[in-house]
This record gives sequence, structure tokens and C-alpha cells, in this order.
Amino acid sequence: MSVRFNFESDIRFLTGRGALRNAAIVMDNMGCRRVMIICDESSVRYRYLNKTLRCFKRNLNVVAQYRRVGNIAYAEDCDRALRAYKEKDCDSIIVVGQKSAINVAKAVKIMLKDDVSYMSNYIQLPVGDASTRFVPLTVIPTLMSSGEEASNSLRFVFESGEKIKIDTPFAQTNVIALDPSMCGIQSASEIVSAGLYALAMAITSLLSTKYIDSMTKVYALDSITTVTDNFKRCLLNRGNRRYRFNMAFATMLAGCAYWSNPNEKLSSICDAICDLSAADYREVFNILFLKVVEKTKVRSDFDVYSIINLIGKNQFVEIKEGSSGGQIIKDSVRNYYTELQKHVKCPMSFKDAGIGGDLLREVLKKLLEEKDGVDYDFALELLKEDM
Amino acid sequence: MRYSEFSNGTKIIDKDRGGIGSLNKILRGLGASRIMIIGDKFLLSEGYLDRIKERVLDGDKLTVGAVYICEDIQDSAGALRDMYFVYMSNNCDGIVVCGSGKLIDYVKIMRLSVSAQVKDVKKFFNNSDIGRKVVDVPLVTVPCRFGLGNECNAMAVFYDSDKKLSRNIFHELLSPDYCIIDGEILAGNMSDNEVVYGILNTLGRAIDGLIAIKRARVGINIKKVDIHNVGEVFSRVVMTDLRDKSLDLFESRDEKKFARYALDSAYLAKGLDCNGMGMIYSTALAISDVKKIGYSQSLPIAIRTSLDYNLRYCGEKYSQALWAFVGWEEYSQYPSGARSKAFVDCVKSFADNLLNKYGDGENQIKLNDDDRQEIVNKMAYNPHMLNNPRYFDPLAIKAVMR
Repeated sequence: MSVRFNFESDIRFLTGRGALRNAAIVMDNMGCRRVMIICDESSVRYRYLNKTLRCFKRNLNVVAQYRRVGNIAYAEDCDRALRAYKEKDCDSIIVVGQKSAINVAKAVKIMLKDDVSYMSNYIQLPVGDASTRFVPLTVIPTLMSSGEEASNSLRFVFESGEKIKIDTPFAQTNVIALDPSMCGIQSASEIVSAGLYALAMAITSLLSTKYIDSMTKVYALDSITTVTDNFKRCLLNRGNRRYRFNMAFATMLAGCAYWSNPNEKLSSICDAICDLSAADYREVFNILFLKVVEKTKVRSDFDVYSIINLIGKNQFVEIKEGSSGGQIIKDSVRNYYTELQKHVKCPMSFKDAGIGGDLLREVLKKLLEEKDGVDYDFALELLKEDM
Repeated sequence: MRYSEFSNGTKIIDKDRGGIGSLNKILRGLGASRIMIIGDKFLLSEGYLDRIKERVLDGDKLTVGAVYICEDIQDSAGALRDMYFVYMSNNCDGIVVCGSGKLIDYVKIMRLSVSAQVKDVKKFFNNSDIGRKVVDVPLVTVPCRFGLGNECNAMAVFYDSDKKLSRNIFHELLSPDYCIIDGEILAGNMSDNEVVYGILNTLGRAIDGLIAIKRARVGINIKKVDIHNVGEVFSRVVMTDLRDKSLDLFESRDEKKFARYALDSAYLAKGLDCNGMGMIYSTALAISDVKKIGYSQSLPIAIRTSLDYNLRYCGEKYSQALWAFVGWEEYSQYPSGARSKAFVDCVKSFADNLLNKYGDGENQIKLNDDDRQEIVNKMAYNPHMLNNPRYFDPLAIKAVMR
């Protein structure tokens, strides 16, 4: 298999107070002279866009804006944003917002690389295995961050309802700027699903059966400790920006950890469920994660003690003499969820999330048809109790 | 919520992602066409440079403009001058360096000079604000030893013959574009003694990163910023199971294990890139300047000095590090009040064991009072760069340096 190369420099993380201002400086140093901003409607409504423009106007020349991205990234949005980019002769992109805006920006970036004008053409045409055009992409996550900013995958929907997922190194982000002023107040349920999603991604990346590099370990580990330290505080003091920022930071790191080495099977089941229902991706992922921890047998050669050594002292990790590695992980996750449920109600099963047995059966059918049943056994193991 | 930056732009590639087989593709992608290959005599005699040349030419569009073999690694100014001359006179527009330590540092400094069009290196001492990229000079490093970290960080050391001390240059243009880790080159090139020093290097940087309190440099226009705990996590990840992984290297001499160890070390360097100078680093550098020995050989004394000097100030962090370093089973055997001391003892005995068992045993450095005074003087030359929790106390440093 040929390796696909993106010759851009690795992601730079700018976090904390002043991240926006410094992102402008970094972009200036990267040679960005005509910048396009892509943002979602909620970022416009909550004035995150205004804040960004205020910080950026000294150093950068913002020549185009595409601010009509809704909660879902449509292929038409990608095409329109690309047209705006070309009309104003831009040379770089800034994204302000959540998952959908990030997906549109990544789509613009990959279309520019292969000089394709429509997303539908991009799907059909063969693409090169090396990057040919450098379009600096800076992401400014808002609210709780989605973890999507560090991933190389993008998802969007065609007008016909067809959902497409592309995984390509050419959709790489160059700079991620996480500023506390962008972490607005959210409801308790939003915080819960974001926090648990971060935890689930971080632990899943550590439990991967593939080789985990140190960068992934660092991101996962930092994310786990930041979530366990700040989750409860963030829920109880929703007005405190520090805790919200810490949670957003944890989600960003967890995204980096998970998407550098994703659990393909888990992601594809999650995608299938979300495609067929209107459920929140994060909630579905969290429920599936709990099932993975409970159901999957940790292989005998899996060095769980290495993970325990890595995580260090943690109030939720309980090491009992004679416990197997898998049991320690199960107990620790269970401890954490039990503690969390004292403060807030979070969906622990598909029933809680309003996903019925019929839909899950449909998901299984879809998986059997689509991928020649590759993920079917794994999905059956996870979903059979809820059907 | 204090501002922090982590991770520079260097991409690290191992064999699974193409290794040196991808050199041609990477260089073309970075926009280079005429490459200068830099290495040393040993690498040339072992045939590694020829392999790299083959890989660079493996495909169309690239030519090798020059192959430069560095003869005198100790003469910083001379080596830099020669490299600059060869690069410019052969119209090269990209660099591949295979080597380690000072050689990579010189190449990085040359790249900075060419890229920022500032020929006088001294202008960069203590000033990271000058110079911004004018010319693009793609740089790919292929380390032949692990542990030093300069294969993917944004720092370089230059020996200032006027002041007779090593100067540190921090600049974002010093970080290479790509770092290729090749297990075969590492396993074939490193003797047991070099592996020992590689491990000590990694350990030293991890300890420095663990107790760092602030960042000294981030890049153009950004000066002092506070460190986030990510640097600390990088250190903890590297320290986890380091003892077992290190001993495994000697027993198996497996390419894959060498590559993984080098990857860990490279990621640590990348993660701690902006931390500046830790106590171990600056002590080892000062010792090497005074005793005219290699940086790595000074590390055992530097590690001991730093651990003893900081013991009272870093009790909690040393205690946490003990968990990562020895594992939870051994950790739980120590009483809670004695864990920081236990960490210091464990690291010292680990270093001693490695040196006695696998080292060449000829590197017992003796320091007299004059040496100690001179080392402290050299460290005092740039104390504001020292990123250490305890303030700079020359008398105390001299007292603990044995």
C-alpha cells in the first residue's frame, strides 16, 4: 500500500489566554496574507466570530467569510465556501466553530489540493497521493470543542441525504488555537456528553491493540487526568470559565489521541447508528464505549499494568491483588460513572438515549450489507442485549 | 488558562510510514530539487550515506548537489563555515543530514542562517526575535543515535570560541521539517556505550521536563510564557517502563525496539521543545565545556547533581515520577514520606548499573575545586535561561557536585 504524504508541518497547539492573538502571529509568519473565515451559525449568533475578527484584524487581512454552516455540513456548503475562497483569491482558512464548520473547511482544503470544484466530483475522481498545494488551516474551536479539529477525517451530507466520510491526511489542521474566551456557557447535559466523550476517546485510544506512539499516550493521559480533575467542578460551577476551558482542552487532546489511532470498528458502528437515527454522535459513542469496556475481553498479553503505571495515582483506579487487567479497567470506568451519576443523569444505554431495538437491527443489517460483514460480529456482540 | 504552546512542526516518520524509503518523495514534496547530504566519516565507511543517496535519487526530479563529510566536529565555526560554503556554491536547495549531536546542530544553524539570510550566527545568541524565513530550506534529519533530541527540536548548541563556552540558540526555524527514524541505522550504528548515553540523555531530558517551571522560548514575537502540564506528561510517558525497555535494548538489539525507543525520545524532544534549558542539560553542557569531553559523558554527574540539588524543592513531582519509573508495585512498597528520595536513589542506581554493566568504564570524570568553580561560572553566564524550580545557587551546586 502506498503511503500518502502531506508535506505540511505537524499540528501546532496554542492554548490559553492569548491563543487567538498568537494564532494571528503564527499565521502571519506562515505567510497568510488573504484569509477566509468559515464559521457556523451559532458562532455568529454568540459573537465568537466578532471576537475572532477583533483579534485577527491587526495582523491578518480577512477578505472572505462563509458563515452559513448549520449543524450539519452539507456538500453544497463545501462547494459554496470553495467558490467564495476562489473569488476572493484567498490563501488560507480560519474555522471558528464546531464540527460542521470544521468539516466544511477541511473539504475546501482537500478540494483545493486536487483542483476540484465540486464535492461530488471529488468523490468520483482519483486523488493524488501527495499534497501539491499548501493551504494553512487554523481551527478555533468554540464551546466544549468536538475533538474533530485534530482528526484527518471529514463527514458531510449530500442534498439527496447520502452521507459521506472521507479519511485523508490532506485534511490536516495546521494550527489549533483554543482560547478561554471561546469556551461559552453550556447546559449540564452538553457538558456531560462532551466530558464523557473525551474520556471515552482517551481510554479507547490507550486500549488499542495496535502500537501506540508516545504522542498518543501523552494526549490520552493528559486528557484523562484533566477530565477527572475538572468534570465535576465544571458541572457544579458552569459559570466558571476556567473549568470550561479545561474541559475543552481535554476534549481537544482526546480527539488528537483517538484520531491518530481510531478504533475503526467502533467508529463505523457509531456512524451507522447516527446515520439511521437523529441521535447525538457523542452520546452514542459513550454508550458504545461502555459496552466495549464491559464486553470485550482484554487479551492475555495486553499490558494493562503499563497503562496503570502511565496513568499514575488516580482516585478512580482501584488496583486489587489478583485482579486481571481487564477487570481493573472495568472497575475504574464503573467507579467513575457511579461517582458522576451522583451529580448528573447521563444515558448509559441505548434505551436511555431513545434508540430502540428495531433501529439497532437495521444498523446490523446495514453493516452486514455495506462492509461484507467485517464489523458485523463485533457489532452483534455489542448490540445484542439492546435488540 | 495561561498561554502555552506545545509541539513544534517537525513530523516524525518511522519505518511503518515509509522510513528512509520515502526520502525522495518527502524532499520533492517540500519543494527541494538539489540536495546536500551531510554525514560523518563513520557513516560513510559503513555505507549509510550511500544508502541515503540512493534513496534520495530513487525516482525522478532530484539531484544530489553535494555530499559533505564533517571531519572536525569540535570546530563549530569552521564546520559551519565549510557547510555554508558547500551549500551555497553547489546551488543546493534542500538538506538531508544523517548523524547525531553536534553535526545535526551545525546543520540546523546553517539552515537558520540561509533561511533567515543572517550570516553572522552570533546575532542569534540570546535573541530569538531576529530573523524570519526569507528562503525556504527543507531539512530532513536521519538520526544515527537516539536520545539527544536535536533531531526534532528547535534548539542548537554552538561553541563560542571567544567566550570559550557553548551557546544555545533557540529559533523556530531550527526545527527540521521531517525526522526519519530508521531502526536499522540506529541498531547498526550504536555501540553498547552509546546506547547507555542515549538512555541517560532521554532520562535526563525527561527529568528536566518533569520539573520545568516555565518556558524560555517559543518563537518569533512570543517571549516568556508559562508552561502547561503537557510537558510534564511527555516526561512521565517517557519515564514509564523506561528501566525495562532500556535493558531490553541491550539484550535483544532488535531494530524495531531501537526504532520505538528512538521514537519515544524524539517525541519527548518535540513535546519539550519550548522548555529551554533544564538543570541537567545546562550542567552537562558546562561540564563538557570545562573538561573538554562529550556532552553525553558529562550526563552521569549532571543527573546526580540536579537530583540532589532539587530534592527538597521537587518532593511531590519526584514522588509522582517514582510511580512511572519503577511501576505501581514497587512504588507501593515505599512509605509515602520516602518516595521522593527513593526516586533519586532509583535513578542513580539505574544510571550506575547501566554504566558499570554496559558502559566502557573509562569515563570516570574527576572534578576538583577549580573545575567546579569554572562549571558554576559557565552556568552563571546565562542563568535566566535555566528552567529550574530552585533559584540559581552557585554554592549549593558546587556542594552537591561530586
